[in-house]
Amino acid sequence: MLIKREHSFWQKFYLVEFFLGLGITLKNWFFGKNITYQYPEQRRQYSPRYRGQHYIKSVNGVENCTACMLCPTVCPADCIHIEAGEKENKEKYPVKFDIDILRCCFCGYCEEACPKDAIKLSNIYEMADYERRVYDKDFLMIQRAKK
Amino acid sequence: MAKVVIDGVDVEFEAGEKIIDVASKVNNHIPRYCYHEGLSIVAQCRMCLVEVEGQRKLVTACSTPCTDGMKVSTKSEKVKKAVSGVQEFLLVNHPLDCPICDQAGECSLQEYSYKHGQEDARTDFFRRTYIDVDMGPSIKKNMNRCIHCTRCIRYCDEVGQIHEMIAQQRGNDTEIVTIDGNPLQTAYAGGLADVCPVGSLTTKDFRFKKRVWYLRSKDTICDGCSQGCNISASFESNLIYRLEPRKNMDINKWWMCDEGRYGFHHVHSPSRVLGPLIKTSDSFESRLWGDLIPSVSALVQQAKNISVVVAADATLEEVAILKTHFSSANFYSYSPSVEKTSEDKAVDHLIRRKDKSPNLKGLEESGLRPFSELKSGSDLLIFFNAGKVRVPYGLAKLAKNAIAIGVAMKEDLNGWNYVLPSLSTYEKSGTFVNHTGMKQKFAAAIAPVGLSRPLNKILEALTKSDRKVG
Repeated sequence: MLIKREHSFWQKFYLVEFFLGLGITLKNWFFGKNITYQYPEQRRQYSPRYRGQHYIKSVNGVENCTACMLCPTVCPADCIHIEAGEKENKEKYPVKFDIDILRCCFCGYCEEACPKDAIKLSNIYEMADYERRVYDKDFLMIQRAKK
Repeated sequence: MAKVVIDGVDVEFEAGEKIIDVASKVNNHIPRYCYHEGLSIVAQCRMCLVEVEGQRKLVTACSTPCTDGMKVSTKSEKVKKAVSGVQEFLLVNHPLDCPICDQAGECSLQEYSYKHGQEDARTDFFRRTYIDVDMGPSIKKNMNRCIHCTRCIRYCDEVGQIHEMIAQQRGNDTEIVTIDGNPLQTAYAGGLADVCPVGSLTTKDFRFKKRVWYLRSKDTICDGCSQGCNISASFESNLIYRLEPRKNMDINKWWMCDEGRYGFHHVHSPSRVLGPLIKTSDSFESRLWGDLIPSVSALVQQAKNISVVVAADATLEEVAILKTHFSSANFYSYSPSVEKTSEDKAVDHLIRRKDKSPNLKGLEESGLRPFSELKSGSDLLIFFNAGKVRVPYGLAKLAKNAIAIGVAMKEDLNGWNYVLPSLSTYEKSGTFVNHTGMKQKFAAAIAPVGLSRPLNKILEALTKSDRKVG
C-alpha cells in the first residue's frame, strides 16, 4: 500500500534537509567509530556456532566417523562422498571421506545429523584457493589438529 | 464363512488361520520378531500380544487360531503397555550401533521401537557382550545385536534341513551359535540375513557396500538355474548391490539359494567386455560400434552355412529375433550342465536344480536342437549368451569364423573373431520358461552397462546398413 507522507514546510525546500543529512555524514566522518577491520592483521570475532570449513573429530588419532552415511543422506548439496571399510581395531570406518567444498552450501545439516560427533564445522572461513579443492579424509583430520 | 472382529473390523478366515495372518489381510500389521510365515511358530518373542475378549491374559497373535465371533483388540491400552514393555526388555542389551549396522533402515527393532517403544532407556548398567565366531563365507554374525528370536535356528532346521544352529546357555546368557563353531553347511545360508529381524546375521557380500535407504529394487527372475526363482534386485545408480527373494508359493516360496543370491557379480565384473572387440593378429582391439558393424555385416552376408548357438540364458523374445534374422541357419541350444531338459533334476530338497541355465525348456519349445548335434565345419558360428552361461572354451574352433554376442569375460575370448557386447539378464526384459513349463515375464532392473546394446539393435544394424546401433 502506498503511504502518502505529509512533508513539513522546510522539508518541501529540500536543500535544508540536504545540508542536515550532510551534517550527519560529516559528523560520522570526523567523530564516528571506525568500523573497518585491518584484515588480515586484525580479525573479526565470530560466534562459536559459525559454520565454516569442515573437520573430522578424532580421538587418539582414530576418527570418530563410522561411515554411517547419515551426512551424505541429509546433505542437500550432495557434496559428501564416503566409502565404508573394515579394519582391525575398528569395525566400520570411512576408507574415503571426500567433501566437494565448492558444492557445499554450509548449511550444517551434516554436523546436526552426525550421531558420532565426527563431522564438525569450524570457524575457519578462509577457503579461497587456486584450484577446485576436494577435501579428503587426511586433510579433514589434519585440519582439526591445526585448529 | 466364519468371521473374526479385529479392532472393530470384520474379517473372514479359514479354519486354523492365526490372528496375525488374518489381521494382515486388513492391513493391520501386528509387530512380530519370532514369527515368519515360512517357519514354524514358537511364540517366544511376545511382541505380537493382543487382547481377546473373554480371555483373562493377553494372547500371542502368531500362535492363537481364530474362532468364529472372536473379538480381538490389537491397540488397547493393555496391549500397548505390554508391547512397549517387551520392546524395552529387548533393548536392554541391544548395543544400538545403528550407524555401523547394515540392517539399519530395514530393521524390525528400529521400526517397532519407533512405533511401540519408549523414548528413553531406564537402565544404565553395562550391556551384555559376546565374542563372535566366524560362520563361514556367507554370513557375518554379530551376537551383541541378537534378540534371541530363534528364527535362524528354525530356518536352518526347516529350510536348510541341516540342524547346525543352536541356542547355547540359558536366559540372559543365551548365545546363538553353529554347532561346535563350524561354518554353515547349508546352501541357503544367505537367507539367514533375510529372516533375521535385526542386524545380527548379515551377508558378507553386502557388508558395508551401501546403506539400504539408498537402494531401489525391481522385481526380476533369477537366472541361476531352471527353477526360475522370483527375486528382486536392489540397485543404486545403475549398480546392482544385492538380490533378495520374493514370495511366490508356486516356485520358491520365500527362499532362494546362495548360488543365485550372489550370482550377479558378472554384471559389474571388471573383466566383462563392455565394448565391441575385433580380433587382430595377436590380441583384441576395441572399436566403436559404427566402425565394426560393416565388417561384421560383410562376414555374415558372405557366410553360406551359419550355425547359431544360443545359450540357455537367452529369453524367448531373443530366440525369436535370432530366428527371424538368421532364417536359414541351424540353431542349437547350449546349457553348461545338461544337454536336454530330460537330464534336469532337483539337486536338493528345496529349489536348486541341476540345469544351471534359466530357459533351456523355453529354447527346446522354440525348436532348438541340443548342443551335442552341433558339427564342426560351418562357415560362421554365432554364439549368444547373457553372461550367466559363460562363453564355452573351444567353441569358436568349430567354425571358420566365430562371433560372440552377449556378455563375455575377457579371459574367455580365445578364438573369437568378433565380440559384440549385449545385455545381461538384469539389463533386459523378456520371458523365461522354468523347468515346469511356467512362463515368467520380467522387466529390466538397470540400464545397459557400458557400450552393451540390446540384441535387436545389433542385428538390425547388421542387416540394414542405414540403422545405427546407437
